[in-house]
Amino acid sequence: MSALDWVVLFGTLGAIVAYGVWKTRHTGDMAGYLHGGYADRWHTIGLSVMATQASAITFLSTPGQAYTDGMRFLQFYFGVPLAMVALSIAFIPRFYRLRVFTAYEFLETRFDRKTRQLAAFLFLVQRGLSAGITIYAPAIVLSTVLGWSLNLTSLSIGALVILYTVAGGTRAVSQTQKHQMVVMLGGMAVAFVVVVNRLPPGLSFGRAVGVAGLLGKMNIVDFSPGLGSRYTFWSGITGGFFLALSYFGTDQSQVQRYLSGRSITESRLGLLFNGLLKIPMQFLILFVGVMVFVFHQFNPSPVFFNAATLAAVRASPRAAELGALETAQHEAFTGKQEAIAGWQAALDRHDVGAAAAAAARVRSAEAAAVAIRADARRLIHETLPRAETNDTDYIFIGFVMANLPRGLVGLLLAVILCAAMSSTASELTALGSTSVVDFYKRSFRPTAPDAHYVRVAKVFTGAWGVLAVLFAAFASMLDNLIQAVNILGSLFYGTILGLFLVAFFIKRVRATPVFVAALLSEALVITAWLTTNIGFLWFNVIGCALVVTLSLLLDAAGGRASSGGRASPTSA
Amino acid sequence: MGNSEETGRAPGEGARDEMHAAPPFLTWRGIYAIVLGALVVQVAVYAALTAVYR
Repeated sequence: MSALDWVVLFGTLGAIVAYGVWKTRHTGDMAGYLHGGYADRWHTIGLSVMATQASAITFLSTPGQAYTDGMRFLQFYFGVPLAMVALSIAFIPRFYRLRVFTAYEFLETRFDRKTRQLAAFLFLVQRGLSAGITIYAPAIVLSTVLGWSLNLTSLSIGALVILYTVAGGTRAVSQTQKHQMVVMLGGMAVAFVVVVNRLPPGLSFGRAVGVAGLLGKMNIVDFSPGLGSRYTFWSGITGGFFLALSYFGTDQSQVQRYLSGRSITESRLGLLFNGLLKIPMQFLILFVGVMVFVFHQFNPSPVFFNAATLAAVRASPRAAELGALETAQHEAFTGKQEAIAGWQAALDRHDVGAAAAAAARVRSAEAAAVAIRADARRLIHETLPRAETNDTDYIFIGFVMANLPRGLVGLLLAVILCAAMSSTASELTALGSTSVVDFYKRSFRPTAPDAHYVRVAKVFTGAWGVLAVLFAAFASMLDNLIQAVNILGSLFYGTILGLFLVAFFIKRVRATPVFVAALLSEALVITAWLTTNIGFLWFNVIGCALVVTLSLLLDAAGGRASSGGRASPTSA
Repeated sequence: MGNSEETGRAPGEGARDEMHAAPPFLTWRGIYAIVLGALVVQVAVYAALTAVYR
């Protein structure tokens, strides 16, 4: 990296963090610390909600996913606008009516303490693990690409986030996220312009998209039915809807963002802003990945995108096999270029038959290239059994490091670090406030001055931050767990959402039946995940449906008589 | 939890008025229609792109 890149990187990050600390230096009471003094406008809320969801992996993995798998991941977000409307109508007014600090407080007013603390506990487990991964995942990529120490990278990201999160609470998070989000969107727009400009001069933009489509990357919408396929229109619009409803409606890291609004109107508009912009934003990120793919149809790509792993294989006794694969890759690339040139010439002549024949040759050459990459992964696995053979996360950052001009490399690294910091900051403040409000204050120290709770919230927030950094430091030893943590959200969100839906809409169900139903549903969801191949998005629907159904059945079977719960004075 | 002593913002009449406050532009139904309409338009455009570049 050049000196200019370092200046841009540290200048951007330093300015945003300093601004956040300075802007929130007088935060003193609990409402101020946990909800930013209820001062945020809708645009701050909207950007903050988007920045919370957009982690570094969004910017590292998503373009790489488009490169390897095409645009179909976009369907994952089709449920978001529907969920934002549903939350604006059904969730936000209920949270506002009670002026809750955390989403889980609502469950006690409707059911009882144990149900509230069950939901809060599920959140702490799931989000506590995720916070470590949110730091670890970008740290491992950045440390590999930049040659930094992994633990030092994790520690640097974690320390910066802990600094301004502990100091300024949720307002510091919102204020920094607003600027981080601008950097993220601006950086990706710049990356898009650069990659399109790096395409061959004779290739029009439309023809570039045509090359992507020819090779199956413009598979944006798939209406085919089937529970086994992970990303379809149907799983996106239903599973994605339930996931978004649960994530934005019951995950404290998001609820805290929009409950910091100046009014219910600002909160609603902030969420709807997210509903309007989320899909276009993800389209841009995925499309950048597709354009990087097209770029590599005209410029050689490595047989494996993690250069450090390739170097390790080159230094091993099996270097010759890698060399043979690289030669084969180059031949496939040359063959594919000739086929694409033939396809373009046929299109220019409007020769449909020749274009179809050339298209078949292009696809065949691509299949050969994909097979060579698969062989390279096998070779890496055999040579270095502990090495990660999925190089998706390295595709976009590799392009950035090799092809962006000086200064812009620093900007794109700032995008990735901003994303890591913004999502981690929301997680830490949410973990801190849930620990204090739902456990410490509720069960251990119910009456104390506000200043005491603010101090304790700072201690908890800092402690969760330290735990996240420690988890990130040891995450490399937990390869299988990382995969599990990635889908952990879908395993728990359905159950938590079910609790809230019963609380909101089914007045007659009381505390104990819904509590038992939640425990049973969680056990059934985990069993189904372990024993079936159902796409993980569907567990949001299944978990939610189980809680609703079982609580109705248990309530009807006599749970009502033994329940210690009480009817809600507030449920509508 | 989360009552007026803690927040200084009691859910009284002011809060109830706020609950039914109109948005600063259009109506809530109009805004919801824009968000959902945008989804429909986007899905249609993406489906068309998928079909064209198959």
